[in-house]
Amino acid sequence: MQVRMIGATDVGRRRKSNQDSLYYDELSNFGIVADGIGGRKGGEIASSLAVNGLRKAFMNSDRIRHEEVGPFLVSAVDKMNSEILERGRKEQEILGMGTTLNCLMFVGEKLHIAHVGDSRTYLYYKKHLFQLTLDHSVGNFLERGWLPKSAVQPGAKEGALVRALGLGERIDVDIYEIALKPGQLFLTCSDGLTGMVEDRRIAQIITENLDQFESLPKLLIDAANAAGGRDNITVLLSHVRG
Amino acid sequence: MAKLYLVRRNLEVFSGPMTLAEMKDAYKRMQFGLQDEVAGHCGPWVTFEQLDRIKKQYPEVARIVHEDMIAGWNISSDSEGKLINEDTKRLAIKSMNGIRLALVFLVIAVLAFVAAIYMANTAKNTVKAKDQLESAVRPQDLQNYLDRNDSAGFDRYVQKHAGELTAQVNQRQAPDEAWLPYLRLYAFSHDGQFSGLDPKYLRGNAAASTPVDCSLRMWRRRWRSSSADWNDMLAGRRLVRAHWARLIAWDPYWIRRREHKGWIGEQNYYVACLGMADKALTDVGNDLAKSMPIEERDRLGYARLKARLAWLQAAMGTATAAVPSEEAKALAADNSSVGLWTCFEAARDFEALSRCRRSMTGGSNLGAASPLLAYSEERYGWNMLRLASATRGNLPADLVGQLLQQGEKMNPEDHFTRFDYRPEARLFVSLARAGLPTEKAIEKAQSEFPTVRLSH
Repeated sequence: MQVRMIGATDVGRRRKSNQDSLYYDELSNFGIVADGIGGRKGGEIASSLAVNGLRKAFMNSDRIRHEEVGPFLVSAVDKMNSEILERGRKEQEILGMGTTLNCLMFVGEKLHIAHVGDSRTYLYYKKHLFQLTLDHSVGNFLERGWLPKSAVQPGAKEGALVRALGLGERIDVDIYEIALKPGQLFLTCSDGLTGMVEDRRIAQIITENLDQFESLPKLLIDAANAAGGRDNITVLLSHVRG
Repeated sequence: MAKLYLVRRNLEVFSGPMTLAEMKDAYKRMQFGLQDEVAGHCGPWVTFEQLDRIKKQYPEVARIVHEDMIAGWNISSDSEGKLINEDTKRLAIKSMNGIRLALVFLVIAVLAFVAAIYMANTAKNTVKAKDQLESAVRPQDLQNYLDRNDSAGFDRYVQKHAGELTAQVNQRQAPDEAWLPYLRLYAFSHDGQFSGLDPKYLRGNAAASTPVDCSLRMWRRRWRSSSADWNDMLAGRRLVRAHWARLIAWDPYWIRRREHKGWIGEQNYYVACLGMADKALTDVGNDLAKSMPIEERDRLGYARLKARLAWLQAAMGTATAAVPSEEAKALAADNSSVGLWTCFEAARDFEALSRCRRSMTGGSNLGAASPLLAYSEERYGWNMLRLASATRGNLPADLVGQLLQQGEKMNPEDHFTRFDYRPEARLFVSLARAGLPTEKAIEKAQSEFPTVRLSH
């Protein structure tokens, strides 16, 4: 399968710096979106450490077969988590930095996604939009019984992150797998998009502009900015062609 | 355009998008089960068994869930049981008013009582708070129960402090290694889960080739939804890509050679997961026996699966070659994939191992066209290496020749179980290609992979 990839990142309308990081390589069919947290400098460093570290791990790996992708992603993310923690310990001013992560690897006839935090990957197919990744938020974990109410501090927001790189020595990574079909379009984005634009509107923008694939990231970013642009916005689109 | 739905299996793998008719068909082909989730366009994920939520979110899906899925398992849905006759409802509302009034008085009385107690005890509160701090949960308390072999006391302690324990873990108030071994021990000596804890936490990242959720509940679902596929895997017709099929293909000696941190005693995630799978299979087998004769249930493959799980558990507890029980011997002579693998694993010398292989190629075990044949060749090779590494000193030349020949067919990463055999492959290179004496070869490979016990 041929996969076309295109992405863009934008500071938004309220933030002074962009703490999101984006990397994609259409030839290798590999892409990463990370959204840094923990202060201006810390967030930037954490997300770029995660993206660059994963990129290097991918570049330095031998050809990865699809059954090896899961263990590879888990161990690479684990390593990046340790590096982020280590860097934080060395530099007091960025202590506590962290980042979300969505990493896409297209191998053979499948897409593998490594997911930590609340950046998302969606599948768009024949005018339908499905959120593939589960946000690692307090609200979701409470609903699923993975977090007892007693463990949540009073006043904690439902959207507060339960998992992110840099939060602790332990990192639990969700690995998803989906078989590829021509016509599928995967949208990976930071919460700067999904926090401002509803899913149905996102689906509508894609449906109306699918024939201008190259301009889609900008159109989605414009929609988020038009709605207020409260956060940094990053969009990565991967289109599966026959 | 027809509405499309996406199915998410085991929180990991997606099927679809598909139409309602395709979903119905996929369910019949056992591609997913009631425990799995479905989502529609811009909609939330809902598990099939949550019929009330399915009805609310995806009413069109609810119909097929009820007709085809739940009916298929002879389970009554919650919402049906909750349907109330309108007259009964009205009567219930009237009596509720009286009850509410009584409750208000009761609450006032209780509040007054509590206030009185509070006033009387104000002076004691500081002392109490200090006591509570001193009685905070400590891993050492649990270790003390274990040291005294007091498992009932251990359970009581965990149950009593479950809230505090999960809070400590989830808020990372203590290092993982402090609590994790005890929480795992508790979880897997019960139902394989710990309320309030993410199943991934119990598993950890080390056992990445295993299912995320090895709870009893999840295994029951896996076995139930897969019964139609059991025989395909057992008879070697196809490698079924599912957790249960990978589990029965586990190599017990590979597991035995690995280091398992964060577990107490001989426990590890593989042993724990197998234990839950075994218990769950017994439950599912008992359920099946209610609706069909035992012989018919066993024809589905139930008895073979049970024997394989029992063998794996026995073999994981031994260093190089387990002594097979009568059931395991019967399984090893059986014409099935798991029979063949058990035969390899139970072999205690090269002659026995070769006999197993001859039965495979001779067609008495797997057919010559079986897609499991090449895979079984790899397993034969790893077992050859297992027996070779038990030899102290130089290997005979003919054996080295055989090993080298076999090495061509072996992949350092098992594509099916996802077990990483790179340390074993390194040992193979030192032993067969470099021709080092066994002790030296083990030492050399061991220095590169210090956490894998290659002499086991």
